[in-house]
Amino acid sequence: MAVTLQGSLVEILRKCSRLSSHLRIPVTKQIGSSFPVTARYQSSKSIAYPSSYIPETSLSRPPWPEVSIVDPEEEAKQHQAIVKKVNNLLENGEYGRLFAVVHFASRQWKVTNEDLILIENHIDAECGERIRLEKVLLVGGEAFTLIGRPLLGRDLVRVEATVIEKTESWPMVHMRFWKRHRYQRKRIIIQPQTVLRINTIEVAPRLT
Amino acid sequence: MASGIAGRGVLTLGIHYQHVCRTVLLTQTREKKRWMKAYTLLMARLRKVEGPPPPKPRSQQPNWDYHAEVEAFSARLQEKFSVDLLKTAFVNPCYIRSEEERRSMLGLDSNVAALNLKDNIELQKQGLEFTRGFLTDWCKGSYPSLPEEGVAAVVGHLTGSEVMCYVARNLAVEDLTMSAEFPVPDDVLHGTFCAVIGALCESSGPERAGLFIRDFLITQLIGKDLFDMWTVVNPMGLLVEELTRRGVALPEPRLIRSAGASTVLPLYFVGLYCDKRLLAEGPGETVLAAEEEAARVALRKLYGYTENRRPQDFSAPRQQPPAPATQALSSSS
Amino acid sequence: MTARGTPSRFLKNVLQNGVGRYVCQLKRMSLIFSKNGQSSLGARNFIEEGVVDFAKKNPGTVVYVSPQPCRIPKIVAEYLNGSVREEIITNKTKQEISELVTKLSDQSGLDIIRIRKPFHTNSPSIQGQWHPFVNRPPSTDPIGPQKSQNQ
Repeated sequence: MAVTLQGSLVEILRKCSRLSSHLRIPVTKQIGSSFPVTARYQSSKSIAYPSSYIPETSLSRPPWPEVSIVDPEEEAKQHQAIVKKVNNLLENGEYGRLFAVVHFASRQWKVTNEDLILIENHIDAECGERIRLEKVLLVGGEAFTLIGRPLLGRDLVRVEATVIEKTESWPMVHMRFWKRHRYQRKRIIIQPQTVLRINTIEVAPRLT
Repeated sequence: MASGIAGRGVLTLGIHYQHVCRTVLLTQTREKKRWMKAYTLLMARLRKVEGPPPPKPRSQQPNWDYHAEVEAFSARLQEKFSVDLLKTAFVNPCYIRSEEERRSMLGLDSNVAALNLKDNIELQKQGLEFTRGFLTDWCKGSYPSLPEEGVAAVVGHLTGSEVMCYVARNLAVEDLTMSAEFPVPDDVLHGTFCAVIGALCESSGPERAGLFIRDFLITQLIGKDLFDMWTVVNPMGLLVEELTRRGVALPEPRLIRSAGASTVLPLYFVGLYCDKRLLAEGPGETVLAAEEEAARVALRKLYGYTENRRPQDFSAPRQQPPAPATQALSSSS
Repeated sequence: MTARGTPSRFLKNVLQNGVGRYVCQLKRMSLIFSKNGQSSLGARNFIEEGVVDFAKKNPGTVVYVSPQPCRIPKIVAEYLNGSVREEIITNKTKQEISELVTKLSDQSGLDIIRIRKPFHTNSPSIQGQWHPFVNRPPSTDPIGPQKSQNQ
């Protein structure tokens, strides 16, 4: 398979080089490593190929348009403009409902105000107590999204929740059965559960 | 040991003896009770014919202390009701009437056994008025661009029998209500809940009553769409009215996108343009439905009642003291 | 074992509890025990030592203690939404009973059955729901049912 592929590649190369020998296309590393061999082999036939030549096919370049590298100064300027805009939005309170992605109980929850969350474990807080969820990965409004790397600062976002209910899961039956071996074990698992109600998500206009 | 066995033998012998000669009728026999099956079947059939027994009010079941219940009611909601007012709020006029009738039926003199109960009509009126006023103010405050009819519709939905009774049932007002009939009819329950609000307003001021309404009635608005509460037959007409009042150009519906027009599930997107700016767009299965939906979306945007509007602030005010412990003692008795 | 056939519900709570203020959902608790039964020894101990503290801590719960000649002592808990739960406390010690009582007072009275999703939200999308036309450039061709096709 590999051999035939090589052969066909050579064919294609030969055809294309006749059409446009002056074309120079930047080569990705993986393809580039396999090509010098074929190029050397071809060079004996007195057709001059540039050493890093790849014919233009549907796979020779990524389908998306090339991204031009932005000038760092320009980029900083744009960044400043965006930060100022979002800060203004936050200061004037012109965002609607906010949502946040919160890491809690080793899971990530997308929450907004007045949401309910069920946690499959016991929490060390009484019912009716307010707790603050501190690991905030992302906060978004209607017009903006703030993404943490990986977390957003504690003075930037504040997500509060109330412990509503501390209950138990329904009895889950865990059955092990080995047929024809007179082996069966039945275990009934009940887990503690906690229900949280998200009360507020607040963002302070302190972006930098 | 031996004597024990002998004793048992004598006993069994004795029973058999009694069984054989039927002179003694009432004896205890230790055998399978064959009559039991017929009896249980009979009882089951009777129960099936009669249906389930009528529900019994909680106050007629065992373990009921009315005073403690009322105290616990106020402590549970973290409000300071004056107990007399709260007790009055639960007494409906229909209960007083039925109770008086019952006493006269029993042949008691009305002077001797007079009912020293005040009914809650006053409190009902007061509570309903306060609720309406508070909700109207709140609606106007939080949705300033909502027109009068919309405010009236929202207030009507919240003070309507359905929502109020749902809230009252889930706050255990039904148990405490004194009413002639059981289960408590909806209008009586509605009146009682209004009276409870009135009693709260009277005993700890309109501010606390406002918080009570906010926490228990306004929270019912969460997840509710505006047009679920407010039936608008012709949203396009309303939109045109609204825009002319604001002095904006009239909307111009345009078909933006369509898909699957020849299938059973066609989809059209209609956009409403105002001064060549997109005001709103809405999907629908026909062009007309899409246009109506777009008009509704535009109305929601104009009235500030979109789905992603800023959520209501339900947090407790700062100066609220925690529930006192003295009440706890008295109510737990 | 699969759980598909079991009864289930979605995550919810009574009356948006916790949005404004938190309301303890246990409204009434009756402790039924025997005065001299062996199996209600723990219940009697709990009544001697734990009940008053519990009632002081939870002013919104009415606690009834009713001695009856019975073999099976039990706790009957009634919740604000009208559901009633009976828990049997035969041969349970004081600690076990007090744990059970706090558990009952922390629950909301909804059925304990399989919960289908561990979250519930009333506003599922804030930045707008996705549909196939999102971010599609508007077409330049005439769209939709032309008059001749429509009729």
